[in-house]
Amino acid sequence: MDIADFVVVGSSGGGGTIAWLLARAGHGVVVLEQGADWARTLEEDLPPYDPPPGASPPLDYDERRYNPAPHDEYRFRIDRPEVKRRLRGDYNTFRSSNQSDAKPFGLGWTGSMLGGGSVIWGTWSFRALPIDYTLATHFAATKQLQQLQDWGYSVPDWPITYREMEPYYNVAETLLAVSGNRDAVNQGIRESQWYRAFASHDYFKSAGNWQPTFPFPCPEFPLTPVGDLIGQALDALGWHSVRLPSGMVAPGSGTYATRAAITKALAQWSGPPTFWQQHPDKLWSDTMRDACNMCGFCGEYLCWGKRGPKSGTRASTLKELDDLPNAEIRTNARVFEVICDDRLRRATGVRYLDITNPDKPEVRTQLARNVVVSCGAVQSARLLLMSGPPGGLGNRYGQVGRYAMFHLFGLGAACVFPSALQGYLHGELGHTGNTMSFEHYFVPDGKGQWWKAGTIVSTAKKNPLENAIGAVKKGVRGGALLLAMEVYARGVELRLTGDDLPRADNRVDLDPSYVDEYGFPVARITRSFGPHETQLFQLTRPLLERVFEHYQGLKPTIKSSDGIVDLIGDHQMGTCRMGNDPTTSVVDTHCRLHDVQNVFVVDSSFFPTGFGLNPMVTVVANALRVGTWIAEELRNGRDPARQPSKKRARGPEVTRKEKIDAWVRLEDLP
Amino acid sequence: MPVAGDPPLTKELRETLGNLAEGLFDLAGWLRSPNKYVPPLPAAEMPWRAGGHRFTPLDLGVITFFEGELAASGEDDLFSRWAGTVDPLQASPLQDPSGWRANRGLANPALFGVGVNALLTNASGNPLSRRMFYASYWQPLRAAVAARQHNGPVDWTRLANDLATDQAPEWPMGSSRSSVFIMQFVSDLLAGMLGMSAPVSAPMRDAVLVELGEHRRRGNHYEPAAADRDVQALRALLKQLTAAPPPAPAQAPVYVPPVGSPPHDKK
Repeated sequence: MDIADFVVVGSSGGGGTIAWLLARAGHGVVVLEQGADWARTLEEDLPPYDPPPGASPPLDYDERRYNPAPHDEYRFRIDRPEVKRRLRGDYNTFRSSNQSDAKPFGLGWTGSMLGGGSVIWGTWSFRALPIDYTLATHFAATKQLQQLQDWGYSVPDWPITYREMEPYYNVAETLLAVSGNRDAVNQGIRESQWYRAFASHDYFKSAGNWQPTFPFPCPEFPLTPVGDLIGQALDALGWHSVRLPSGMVAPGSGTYATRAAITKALAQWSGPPTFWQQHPDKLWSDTMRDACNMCGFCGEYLCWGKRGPKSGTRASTLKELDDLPNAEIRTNARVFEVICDDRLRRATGVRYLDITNPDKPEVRTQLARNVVVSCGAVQSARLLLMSGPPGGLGNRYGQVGRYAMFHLFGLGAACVFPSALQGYLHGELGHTGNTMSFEHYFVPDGKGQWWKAGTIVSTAKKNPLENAIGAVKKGVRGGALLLAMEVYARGVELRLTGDDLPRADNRVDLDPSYVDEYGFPVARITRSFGPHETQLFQLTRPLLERVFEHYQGLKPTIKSSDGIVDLIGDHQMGTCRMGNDPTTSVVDTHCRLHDVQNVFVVDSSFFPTGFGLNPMVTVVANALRVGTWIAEELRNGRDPARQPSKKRARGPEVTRKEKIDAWVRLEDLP
Repeated sequence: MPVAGDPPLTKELRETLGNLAEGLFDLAGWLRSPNKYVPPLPAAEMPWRAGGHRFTPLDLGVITFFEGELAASGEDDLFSRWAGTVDPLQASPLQDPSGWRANRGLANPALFGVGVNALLTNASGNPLSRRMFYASYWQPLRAAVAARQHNGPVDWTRLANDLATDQAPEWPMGSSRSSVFIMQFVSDLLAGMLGMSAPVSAPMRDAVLVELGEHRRRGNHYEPAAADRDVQALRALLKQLTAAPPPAPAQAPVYVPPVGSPPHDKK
């Protein structure tokens, strides 16, 4: 494709979803993914699995559908980190204050493979709650907003509403085959203390639909021993345990038909945009996905099922896209610049390194009428800052990279049970996480105020090898090491996906010194915890420990921990904040750069605030929303890049001839 | 320096490392330790517990596994390319990377910090392959073992302990620290014992996992009914335990990784 209608950089929940939608709407789409297609390698290892029509599955049917190759704890989790997280030679730097020098560190990774982070995510599938869209309104009503501002936070309302997002959430959940029980989730929210405390306020009620009725497309994931252990403790405290909604075809549910599920979602949508009025046969193929078999190796791994038991774009939208003649996927394509014509204030494509042979990278150019950036919040900011004018593309007001949020990883409690439970916890069953509670989405401070926290989830201990090696590196050896390995097998955790509220100084920019393998500046992450986070640790740790005190009769060992400031994973948000004001945000409500309106950013970079739960469902829903808007604009003969947004700075007048000349000049690019 | 295609280990080194592995992991002693968990399996499925058998890491083929890792290590030698890179910008596709950097307010010269992503690094933090890492330790290891053999049969447990704590006087002066070698060797042995790729057949391949009460196995697959059975078994146990006198306190965790840790402790 010489000039694509859209070049999409990144293939995870944002890029992989919008690429499908735009291609399905008939536009020419090129997807550039910097990683390889690891899942295809696994598929090709397997023999054909389709039985003849009408025949019973052969005896070795399961063996043909599932590949145990990823079940190599050593290879996939320890020995070759680039397989699942980042490219060879890539890394970030970190500093905890803007006064200090950053040092290289191994975290803050970007899932570098076709499907990106949506292939290796934990599948915890939540929609944001309505109040997440109106946090500023909420904190203003409770008279806490000024306090947060005094502490240095910038907590805005989202410029879009939950109501706008709701139909896209429904569809997103069908693409992700979310297994769960809607009534139970609704009850868990409705009966939380914070909900009851806020429920009478008009702003709260009008924030959105608190009790959605659209059923999850798959039944809930089976209960595991660890989930039951913690669920019972939560319930005993009156904290309403709920089976964790999970982006996996539920075990025992047979096969999953995405098309039928989408059809149900659309039936709930009164007056959907034209794109969604197509006959379901036009929207989605008749492919089926297999049920999860609970092998338990999918957390931060590739799923070993051939037909997508674990949800992600690689198993859904990218598979559909691959069959469309007007779309193309290129892997090992590492984009290093969004090409921009300053006079036109338009992007005209991207330049990338073809790293199929990483020792001999080749520079390539893909021209495009529109560019969609979706590399994860750290790498999207990095790409924009490496592009355009010296200050970076879309960075006229210095907003790119600011308000980075990563959730409060490390905040939680661990419990070790006595040896009588050795062998009974079965942490190997299913994915990481099984039961959860919304009880601590806000926590009281005992002084009449509630502060934003997040969701708590039961988590099983899954990786004995990794734990053992971690112990060795701490100096544990001999009999103590064997004991530590035993202890690990009877441990469980509660993790709180805590909401770190946005501050301008928590940011991503280009490291002034360090470069990657190809000489490009790496992303520098600056992050510290503010008073809100510090207070949150003090408020939540005793609450988390209380869960395990339910088993006090067994004399367990309980230990809680604060969030760890540099424990940064793939929950990366902010950095390209969405807003109506170009001086305080980077993209508008259609996720277009204020400065260069044919550049869209559709990963979690656009989040104005970070929720207290996994962002994937919202990323997918938003990509559907933005893609739908673009498709509708184009269908109506309007250029989605030309809609003036408020306060848009006008560039110089450009004639039609100059535009054509610009395209011609582009062909001179390498 | 080792060259790809060289045999990873000599016979003598293989034997030394096997003895060292036994000294590092006293698995037989572990099985005999008080209150050790006894897997609820028929004796025929636990040959490592058979009468007269002394359970050691060699039952799991750890040295063969380790040798395989050394042999495969060649592909990691690309790290040496980065470590030897004098100018971090030399691979840049930009025509004038220094000018580009200056224009963006970035410092020149640039620095290269890729070591954080490497599995193994040298004392300077530069990445290197497993084969290269170990190559610098074989000579001092041979010297230390030879010195002990000179005084009679080697107490491998003691030697392992001395090496792990940098307390072996026979370890040649000027060599890299023995504790660094032991730490990596123990990690690689653990990969052989727990990593589900040990070059021996089941049930021996899973012996350590079984003894830990870990059910994680390559090829696992379950139906919901299996999960339900395990839930019911745990409920029954908890009911029994809460009805009985309180058990002994749980052993405090020797090492508890941060809750929610991404994998690796590579920072």
